Amino acid sequence: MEDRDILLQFKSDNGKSRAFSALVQKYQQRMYWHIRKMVIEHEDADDVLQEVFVKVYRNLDNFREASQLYTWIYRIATNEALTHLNKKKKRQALSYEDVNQELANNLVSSSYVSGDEIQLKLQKALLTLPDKQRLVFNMKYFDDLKYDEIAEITGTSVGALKASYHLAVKKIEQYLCSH
Amino acid sequence: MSKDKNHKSPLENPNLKKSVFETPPGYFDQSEGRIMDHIRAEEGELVSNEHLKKNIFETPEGYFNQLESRIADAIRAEEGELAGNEHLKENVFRVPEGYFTSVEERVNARLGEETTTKVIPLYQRNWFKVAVAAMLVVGVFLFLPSTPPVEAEISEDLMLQYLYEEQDATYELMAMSEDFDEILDNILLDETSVFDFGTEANLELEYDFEYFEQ
Repeated sequence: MEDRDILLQFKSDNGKSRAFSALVQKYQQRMYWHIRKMVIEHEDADDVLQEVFVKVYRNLDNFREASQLYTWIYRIATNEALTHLNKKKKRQALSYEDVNQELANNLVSSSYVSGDEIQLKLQKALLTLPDKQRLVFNMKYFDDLKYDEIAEITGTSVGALKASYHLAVKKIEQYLCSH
Repeated sequence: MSKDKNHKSPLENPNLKKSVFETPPGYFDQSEGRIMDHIRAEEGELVSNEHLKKNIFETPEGYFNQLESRIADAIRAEEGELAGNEHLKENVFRVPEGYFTSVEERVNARLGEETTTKVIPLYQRNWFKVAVAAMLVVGVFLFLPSTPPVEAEISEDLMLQYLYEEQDATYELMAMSEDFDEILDNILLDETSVFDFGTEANLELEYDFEYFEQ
């Protein structure tokens, strides 16, 4: 179903649940992988994903269509993933390095992670970056999003994103060469 | 009056209005040419001299033919292993079998839970009642004239000492770090690339203020 039809149906009394079902089906995988790459563990990704759709359901009526539905959901998912990581740090009173180190350890032990040595090395390198830099890298490198799109989702200027991505690439290169 | 009427001002003489100044013959016909000459004279030799305009710089042979591929090489070198490495781009994460078929159901369950949870007004909540009672007790205790204020137990010196120690520890931590520049870079980057979750840019997200925490 097209986004426009989803929005129209959601606003009608009898089409609400059908429209929401179509929305979840359409976006669940893309959002899941976006979140998963940030929070790393499946259980956390699942929890955040559900929260994202709950927020979408609650606020879709207020969606003003100034941006694309896709960008809007992406933005909520990004917010929720970052909020989740922040809460985790606060709860455990850990710095991002510590939390990310823990996530890196879980990468190896998790049963829901595959990939060969070099692929895992890249994921570990990513976990040495600050969350927002990691986020920008994920969106640019893995999701092949354009800077314009990332700018719209994150509310950051294209210039700042380019600088962030460039810095991330440099650090990852360094990590890959020295480990 | 009549005397005034007959009086004529000397300025009314039409001859007085005639210009007494003259130009050399053909002056205005030549003026444009002379202005251009003047401009050329000011700019000197540069403007008209085609020889001086010639580019004296040269490039190695075939420079422009190879430029494109050399730029591509430079970009590859810059991005190193990462660029165009499809293997690295592969998704390493997996989900339990059948996971995606269950998402919708569980989201709906969560939505259902939230709507069936009765909203209890703040003043009716037990913890709120207890908190108010506690505050009242503490308040009465504090304002009893015979009781010394609690703050008095912590001397100003002690408080200052604590603050100085705290500051010293921060400085020490910063001085100890070998990657001080990197920390600064990160702080700077964090500040310049802060995701603007402000309300103006994202009208649809006005509802959620927890994002401002970060």
